[in-house]
Amino acid sequence: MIERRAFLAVAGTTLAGGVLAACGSGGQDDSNGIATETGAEQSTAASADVSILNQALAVEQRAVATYQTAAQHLSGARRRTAQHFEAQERVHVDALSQAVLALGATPTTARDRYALPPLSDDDAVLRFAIGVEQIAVAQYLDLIPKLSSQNLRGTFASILTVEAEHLAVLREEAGQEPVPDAFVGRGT
Amino acid sequence: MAGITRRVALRNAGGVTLAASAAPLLVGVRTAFAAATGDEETMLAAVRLEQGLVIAYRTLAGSTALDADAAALARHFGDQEQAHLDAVSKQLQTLGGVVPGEPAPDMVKAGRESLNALHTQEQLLAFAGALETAAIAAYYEAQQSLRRAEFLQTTAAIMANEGQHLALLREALHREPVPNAFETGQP
Repeated sequence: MIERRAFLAVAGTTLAGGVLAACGSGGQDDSNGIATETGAEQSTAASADVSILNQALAVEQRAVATYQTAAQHLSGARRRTAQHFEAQERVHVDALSQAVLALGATPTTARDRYALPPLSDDDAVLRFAIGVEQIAVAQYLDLIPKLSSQNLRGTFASILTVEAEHLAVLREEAGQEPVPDAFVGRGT
Repeated sequence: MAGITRRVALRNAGGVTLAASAAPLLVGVRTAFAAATGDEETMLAAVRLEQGLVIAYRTLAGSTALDADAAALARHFGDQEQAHLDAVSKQLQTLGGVVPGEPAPDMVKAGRESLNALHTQEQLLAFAGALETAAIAAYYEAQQSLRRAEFLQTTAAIMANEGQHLALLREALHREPVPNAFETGQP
């Protein structure tokens, strides 16, 4: 709950920027001397951010479904880990959805079903979850520079970091080197 | 960065008591980007930050207080910090910036004083965790100030790698490796 409030504070700042844009507040930003965008440009940027937020939301919805499935196939400590990660992905879904709503748009909805590989044993489940996290990490790295909102860039980076942490834990559980590369996203 | 106190920096050790002498390095890392304006200054600050982390891990890896596994972890993380340092140095140079040949003397002094006061494996790993937390907080802020896409991607990839280090350090300290849904470097 605290985490959600923290995110909403970030999203609220973004919303404030959007409101300013609606009032046509372009011009010079005194804090850094860089010319800011016009109201119309800011509105376009906010619209682009909505699209990016919805792309991230789709990634998170898939992650929730993945960990739900993983928890059904795993037992003991591994099941608890999957449930813990699923809960964190739900927090991401919730926060991203709220951010989309705050920008006056509609959050994308989760699919009814996601394609699953055969999950015959724990190794297969872990490989599947690792693959989903690798895709999530790659997506966030791709999306961060495209965001116009500085606050959302920070938020995306904080989610990216958590997905990378999940990845390290899953790799370790699968008997792999948990942190093989100095830069996440390489070779994934 | 206003409001970052020694007490807050030390709290990032996750319950392990660190000597007050550890605070200057932690605060130095946490506030690495505070005075930076523009991409060149931010990338120069990233170079300084990574130089500090490389020195810290090399010193940690050489500590006789660490067992073989913990020392190997410190060496591995130190190698990855060196890779970060190489990458941010190259990017700084693309802007015409000059990479400092040596770490800042105050960073070296703070690092030496920090580690001199830490005597057990638990304290050393907790210090490394606090250092990683401070680095994550700094890179989190950099994501909000950098402009160029390539710098944003590099620093985000580094921030996430520091998060992976932090997760393994938490595990080594028998703590939950991923306690928060958002990793911002806040205590």
